[in-house]
Amino acid sequence: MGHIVRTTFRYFSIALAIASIGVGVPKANAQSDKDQHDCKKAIQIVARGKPDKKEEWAWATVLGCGAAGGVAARDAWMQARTEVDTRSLEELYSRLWSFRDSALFNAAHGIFADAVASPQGRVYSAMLLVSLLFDAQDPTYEFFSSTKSLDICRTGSVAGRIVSHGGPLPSDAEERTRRAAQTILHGSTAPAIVVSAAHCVDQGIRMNEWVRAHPYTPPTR
Amino acid sequence: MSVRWKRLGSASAAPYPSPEFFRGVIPPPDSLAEYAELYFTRAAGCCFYLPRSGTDAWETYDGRWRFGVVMDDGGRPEAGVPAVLQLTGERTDAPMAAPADFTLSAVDGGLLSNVRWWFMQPMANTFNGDSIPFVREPPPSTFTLPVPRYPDAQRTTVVELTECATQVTCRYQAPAAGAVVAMATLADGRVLGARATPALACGVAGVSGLRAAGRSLAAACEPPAPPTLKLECPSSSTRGEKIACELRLSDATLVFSVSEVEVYATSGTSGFSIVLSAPGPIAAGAVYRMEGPAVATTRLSAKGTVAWRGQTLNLVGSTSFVVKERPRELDEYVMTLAPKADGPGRTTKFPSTNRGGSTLGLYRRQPPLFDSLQIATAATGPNRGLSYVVSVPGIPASLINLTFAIFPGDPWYEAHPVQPGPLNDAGVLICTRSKIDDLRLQAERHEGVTLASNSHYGLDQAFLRRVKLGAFIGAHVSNVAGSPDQIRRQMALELMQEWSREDAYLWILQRAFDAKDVPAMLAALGCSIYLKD
Repeated sequence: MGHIVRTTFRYFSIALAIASIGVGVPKANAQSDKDQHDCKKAIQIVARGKPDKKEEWAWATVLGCGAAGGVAARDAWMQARTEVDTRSLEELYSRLWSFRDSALFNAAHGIFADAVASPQGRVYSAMLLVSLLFDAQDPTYEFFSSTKSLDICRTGSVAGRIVSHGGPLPSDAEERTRRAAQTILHGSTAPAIVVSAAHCVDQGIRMNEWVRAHPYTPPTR
Repeated sequence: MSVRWKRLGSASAAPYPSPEFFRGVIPPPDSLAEYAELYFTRAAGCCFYLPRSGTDAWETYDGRWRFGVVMDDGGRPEAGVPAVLQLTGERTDAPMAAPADFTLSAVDGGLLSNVRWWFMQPMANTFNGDSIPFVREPPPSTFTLPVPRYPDAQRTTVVELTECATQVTCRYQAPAAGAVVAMATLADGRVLGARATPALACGVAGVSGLRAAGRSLAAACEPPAPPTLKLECPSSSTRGEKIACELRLSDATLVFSVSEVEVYATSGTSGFSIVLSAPGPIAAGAVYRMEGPAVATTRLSAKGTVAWRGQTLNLVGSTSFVVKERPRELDEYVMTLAPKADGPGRTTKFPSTNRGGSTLGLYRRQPPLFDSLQIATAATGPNRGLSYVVSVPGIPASLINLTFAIFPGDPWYEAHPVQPGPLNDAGVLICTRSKIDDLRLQAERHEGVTLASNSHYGLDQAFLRRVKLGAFIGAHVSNVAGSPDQIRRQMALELMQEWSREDAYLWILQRAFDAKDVPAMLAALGCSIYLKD
């Protein structure tokens, strides 16, 4: 399902670009040169961090820079390891939640599993992992940090999200994420909000497995 | 009425029945190679004894009247005489629901006189083969030899129906399992007794000629049907309402045993096999009642055994009932709240480039708070252990995010020209602010702010109406064991799974809607919203 989804979104992004441009699609080589230039510039801006007057442009651009953008995204996400301010984390998350990239995934996975990382950063990393794995999932800090064991983690779904792609996720990304969650759940040292996030991750993966095994068939009429 | 048979042996047998007389194989009632006689429960004041001089009595009740042969409740001949006196009426092997007529008549149509009626209620219904103590008959009997007599507590209660005296028709309602018995003097002066039999009028008890006539009566009366297990429930109910199923034996005079009660319940697409605890032995005439809330359409079966005429019969009974599953309030489980604007959320903050994909708006669907689900579990009755949904939380309002960029005052909005003319670096006309205003209205429509049918919200609502999740919730039954909280959590998880399954399908529809509507929306502007490419 994931592959199909990714392909469709790539198509959709292109369709959106063509529609907005209307006519006069630039030549590929010229575009490619410009892209590389913009990406290099955007990555530098993102790497320097805020404040920068072109920061918004830089973030938007980085998401279209493929694996190179992923490195910048990874470096940016590493700030979450020590960040405890959920507003800052939310802002960072909002910029990267739709950038499916292996380096970003690895960074989020590492922080989620890191016992000495900030609990808030681990919760946001858990949210990011779910967002990167599943196109339709819409994790929120509210529920990822407060769901008790055995309760339903109220992860909503989102329409209109456009996923950009960097380096492809590891083939075992889902399994690695599940293992990290279960390690936290079976341990006894993680803060409550991290346990809650692990519970949401575990439940989210199980739920998606169940849905894949029991696809819905609409009534015929 | 319990019917027990014994072998009498030949007429030349010992003058008094010995305790051994009651032991051994009990022959079937229709085998009349030797005389067989009903041993009318262990009830009579004096059971029976061989005829004394001058009489042919086989059985004596309180010494006042006698008959040697009676019909059992299944219409079986207990010995046999030609039907001379017959008594017809309702069955009395269980309490009667209403009074009914019992009619006494002579087979030859002759007049009857000195008619008297009794109702006999046996105190014990089983004969276990134990020896009966021999005692002397009390005065005024002058019979001095000991005869086998049952203890008082085991004797039949005999109540004379004085209100029916002299009448050939007696209107009476038997209060318990027992026998209506009548006695009359025939035209020729013979005094005979008869016992009510259902429909078939098999005469009873001559004083003389008893043995000789036995075989012919046996041939005239049908053999009894074996007892059956009666399992009865109301044919339909509504979920949550109390339903009572009853298990009884067709012959209310017999003790029976139920070894297995099985339930197969269905609701929606789920089926549940449940084995209920079996009640074991059930006293004669007793009813085993299973009462509790109806949860799911159910087929109920029971197995048991009964000792009947010297053999063990296997019993099987079954029944079913239909349960209306869905609470009416779940007929239409849709969003009752309009979507809520929730700021820019995670939309693209600064869609100055189309390269990374510009998310101008998001539609975020919220699952119901299934954790606050209310359920009920049937603790008793035929659906014991099944849980069902009593009330389900509503669907929260969806959230809509729109980027600030398309609102006046935002730097991106303000960077667009007021008048048409400027081109972006791709050489395409840049949209004016007025066009961005148009875009904002379209984005609001697209997400569902205006509740338009051609919006993410509109699709969502139409989908909910189509899939009828409420019907699923209403029909959802679980047989998970555990504490009430564990059951509730498990059922909440099952409902969330169904929600997620349908949600995944809806998401495909939403994605297709985006793929069609967004390009059309942007193309309709006739300009590029991007300042740079």
